[in-house]
Amino acid sequence: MSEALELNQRARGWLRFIWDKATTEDDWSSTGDPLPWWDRTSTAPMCAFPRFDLSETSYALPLMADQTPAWREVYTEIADQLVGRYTTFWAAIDWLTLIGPDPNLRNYPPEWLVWMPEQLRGHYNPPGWTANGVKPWGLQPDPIAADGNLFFRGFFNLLLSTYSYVSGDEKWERPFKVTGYNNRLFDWTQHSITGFIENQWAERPQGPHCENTKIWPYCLSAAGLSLQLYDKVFSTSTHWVYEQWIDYAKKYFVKRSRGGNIESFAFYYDPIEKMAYSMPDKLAGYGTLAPLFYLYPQAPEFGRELYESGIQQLGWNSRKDNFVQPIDDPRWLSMVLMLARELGDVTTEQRLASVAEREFGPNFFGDDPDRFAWRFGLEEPYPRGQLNGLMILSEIGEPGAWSQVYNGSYTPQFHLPMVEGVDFPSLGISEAHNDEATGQLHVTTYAATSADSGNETSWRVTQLPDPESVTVYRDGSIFTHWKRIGDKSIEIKSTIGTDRFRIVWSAPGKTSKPLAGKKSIVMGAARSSEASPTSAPTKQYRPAAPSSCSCC
Amino acid sequence: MFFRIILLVVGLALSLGSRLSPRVRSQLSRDMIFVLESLNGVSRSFVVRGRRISSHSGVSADAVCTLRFRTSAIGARIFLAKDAIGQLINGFGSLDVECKGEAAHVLWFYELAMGLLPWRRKTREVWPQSYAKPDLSHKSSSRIIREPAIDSLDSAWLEATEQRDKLVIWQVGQGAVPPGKMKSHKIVINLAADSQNIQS
Repeated sequence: MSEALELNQRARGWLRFIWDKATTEDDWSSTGDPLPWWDRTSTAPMCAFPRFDLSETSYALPLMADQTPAWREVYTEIADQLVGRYTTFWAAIDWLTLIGPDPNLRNYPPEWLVWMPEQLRGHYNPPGWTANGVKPWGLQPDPIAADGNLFFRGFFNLLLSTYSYVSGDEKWERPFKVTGYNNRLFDWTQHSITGFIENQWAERPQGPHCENTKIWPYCLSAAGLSLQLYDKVFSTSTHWVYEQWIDYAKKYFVKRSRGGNIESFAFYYDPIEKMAYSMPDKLAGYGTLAPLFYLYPQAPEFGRELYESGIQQLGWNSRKDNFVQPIDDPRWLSMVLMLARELGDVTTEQRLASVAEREFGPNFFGDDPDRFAWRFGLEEPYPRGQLNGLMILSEIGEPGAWSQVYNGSYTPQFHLPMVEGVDFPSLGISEAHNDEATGQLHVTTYAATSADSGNETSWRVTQLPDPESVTVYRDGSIFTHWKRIGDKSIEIKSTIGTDRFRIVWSAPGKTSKPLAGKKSIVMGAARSSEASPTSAPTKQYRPAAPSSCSCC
Repeated sequence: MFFRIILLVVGLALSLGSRLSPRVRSQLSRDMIFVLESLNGVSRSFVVRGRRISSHSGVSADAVCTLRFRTSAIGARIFLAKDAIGQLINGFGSLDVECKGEAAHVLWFYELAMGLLPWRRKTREVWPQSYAKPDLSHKSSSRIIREPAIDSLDSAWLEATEQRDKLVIWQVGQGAVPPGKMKSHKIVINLAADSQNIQS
């Protein structure tokens, strides 16, 4: 059994915590307030909005789903809750409330001014100020259908594609409401958002504006990744607009030395001010590395060139030199650590991992403690969701797993036997995958809540071709505490704790055809992108007592 | 001596700039003290107060950022280098330069000073296929609702105003200190012991 096919201890602890966050109701409407564990502080001013926690929390889900392809229900539930919140006032709060020219633009501190070209500082809307309502664009009440604000819809589309990927379900392909200016509501579907992004980008090869009016490779690459994953799931071809943009970026966003080496990759370009912004000298490495997290799976060759240039500029790959991190924000190291692992740059990966282990405070917390997060030396009641959402990616799967999600072949196991009805978060599943050739399902359980260890529980295996002929093994021995329920399922009774199950659902040599599941289930092939006519159920995010913070 | 003169000239230029140049003044958003010094005795404090800069020799205990060079010769060489920021990063790594405070302040100060030299400013670039005004002929435009430009949030939408007040970008724009910085952030980390493990 491959060790890499199991979720490790940290990944399980992170899953436990994001389950708490995602499934605890709160109110993201204009009269409510997201619970304080949603990170709206990190990487200010650009990312200090809670929707970035929604996005970045979701990145682990497809990686985890690939680790346990026969157990998806928990990832699906978390992704669904994240998407639901993304339709609200608080998700689009910048577009809906940072209206007109920034009245405070003369008051930002030096550490924020450095994110703008020097001669514009103090009289230029800072990154993060979306400036809905300014001339020449006017007020655009829909946060999705806008000339700017790709910053919002690109990441939303990535989250929607993630939902489709982990769930195999079509809920968000049906019409749903998105909150706009003055609480006006706008109808969208996953397919119509993708269509809008593709059409707009086709007409603007320089790239749609992420706020008003800056064009950031970072957010364009996230939007591009959303199209790539969408194409993979639905067998469409929308991603060409990003490929076209990559050609543009190579010509204009990249600056090269006379020798042809990359000197910088602009953080953003403003077509009204006609200025591109990059940091000077070696700090340009930050701009070069910034979009790679999203860009690399889409343009691996160009991405590797950018990576090597950025890493060298910052000197993070040097074995003999001290490690220097001029910018006080763990986001950079978190992203680059994951990239180094992804690209197989072992030296850099180990150096960055050393820094993270020493400085970032990896920490199991909670009552037992079953939850895991890095605290980053911050004396705050909750772990930072955005930063942790990036850090955890280095703990899941093998190197290359991130790219595999977006550009690998699409072979979901939704049509094969699935593990369902697990009493998470009491019981967790660290391994669940089918070996189709031998007709076996491998499942490893663990106590996701230590306090519940030893308690009795039950869970189901569904979509079995012939439940009568199933044989169940636990830790190598025949296991008999199970019963058939319905035509295609069995229920297994077990205790909460670590057990290895092997469910033989097809005798060797026998060519049992696995079942198709419910209507929405993917049959190993890409799905249709036609929208279903019925509406997506409206999820309410009501105020909830911030249940006792389990981490402090 | 040379480094002392450089710092004196920079102090005078910034002081003058803060009186005459709106560009400089607009960047002096926070009252603070920035110190440049060398271990062999050269030091100058740059004091920002009320969108003016003054400078005096010596250090200040309440500086928000102190940049300390191992020698004044190193300070002069780096400050005048065309790739000064790159050399500063190298200096951090080799421990020829130490930064107490946030390195972003160093970048801000350096670019503020260099911005006084017109030939060091960035030039504007016109890139092709720019979208600088709405194009109603675009297919995607048909979905966009465009209303007249406005300068501020609808004052009748009271709850939105209250929620905006909770945003970091708004609070900092109103004068707050950016929240949630790592208390333990180290600009330079010695990985010598770990490197041995990596090599082995």
